[in-house]
Amino acid sequence: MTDRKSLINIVLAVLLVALLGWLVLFAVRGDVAAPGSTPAEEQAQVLADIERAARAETLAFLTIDHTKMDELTERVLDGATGSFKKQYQSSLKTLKESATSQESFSTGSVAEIGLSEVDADSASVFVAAGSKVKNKGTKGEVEDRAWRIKLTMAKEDSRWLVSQLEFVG
Amino acid sequence: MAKLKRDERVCPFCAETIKASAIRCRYCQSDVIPVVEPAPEPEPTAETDPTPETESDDVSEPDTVVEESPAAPAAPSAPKRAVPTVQAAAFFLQERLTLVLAALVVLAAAGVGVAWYQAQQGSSQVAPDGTLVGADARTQVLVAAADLTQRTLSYDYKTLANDMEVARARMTPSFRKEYESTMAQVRANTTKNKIVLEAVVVSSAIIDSTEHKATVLVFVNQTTTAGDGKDKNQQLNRNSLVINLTRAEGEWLMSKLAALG
Repeated sequence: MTDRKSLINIVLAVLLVALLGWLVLFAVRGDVAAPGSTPAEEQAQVLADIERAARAETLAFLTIDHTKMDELTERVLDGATGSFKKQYQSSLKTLKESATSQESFSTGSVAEIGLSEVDADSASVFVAAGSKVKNKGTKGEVEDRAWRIKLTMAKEDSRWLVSQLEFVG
Repeated sequence: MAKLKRDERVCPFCAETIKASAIRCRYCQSDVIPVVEPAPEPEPTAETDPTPETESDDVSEPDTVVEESPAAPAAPSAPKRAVPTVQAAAFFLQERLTLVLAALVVLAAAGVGVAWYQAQQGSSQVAPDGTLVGADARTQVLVAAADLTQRTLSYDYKTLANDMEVARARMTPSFRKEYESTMAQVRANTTKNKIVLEAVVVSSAIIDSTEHKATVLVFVNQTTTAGDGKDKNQQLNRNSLVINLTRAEGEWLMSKLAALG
């Protein structure tokens, strides 16, 4: 019986130490100590998801290599939806033809990307982007171009896609 | 009543004489705490069993129970009487230790519960990593960035002092110094050439924001007009700016402005 009692005491002591440790974690690291994620944490995750999707689509859109246009345009379509997808699809043939005839290369880059309004299933994102362009028109020289882009994002099946892409004048 | 032998003691419950190392009273069956003699440890004897936990020790050997020992005639009775008291105290302490521990565990669990609840409910405006997520708070940042950019990049040679005052009012001290030295350089030219700068913010978007600091991407179209009448000369610049804001006393102030590209 005494054995059992000291066993209970040991169990209680261990439990106490564990709980106090958890409390210290709360004091030091704040809300991270709570298991699962808080609403704020989830929202921060949403913002990060939107930014990642917008960045990827911008880079895909600005990247051109006349030797592998099928692969590159497929990537753009994968991140697109709505009117942007329709527009891009309808201009696909012309885009491929001009890339081939002009022997175009373009490497996209994102200088800065920011989020404007964000709703549960839509968001607008602004991108200061650039591209290094080389084609017959530039006579083999690499030209730097800067773009101000507005992306309208839509959430579809838990994925953020670009539903509109505009150049800001 | 027979005197207690060295290896005997009194049961704290029924007052019968029992073995010092017993863990259960053989008379009343109460659980008792074994008392191990502290004195001569080196040679373990058969009487002071070093392992009192063994169940076989439950009932003491009958031949050594009530035997008067001449070897220990003047054994001081005082410490022997103290044994039940000490033992009882230890017993109660252990009893209470469990209680105290249990109470502390309940308290600590309640503390964890409260902290957990607060983490779930509270601070929906700021994520644990500091990211500002509240929709209204983010809108305030967007509006402040647009407003402060227009204030800073717009001025008219006719109202220069006033325009500068409007811009200066919402700057951090270090950025205000930078702004003033820049304006000191362009001031003469502005007046001489009758320059009007008009900045129109096309969009503002948050690159990164906490409750206290924000970095904002601002697209701005800036029209520069020099002269008036027939000599009027206009130029439009489409710029991408990165604006840093700092919050002081509930107000966003401009702390940095840099043009991209």
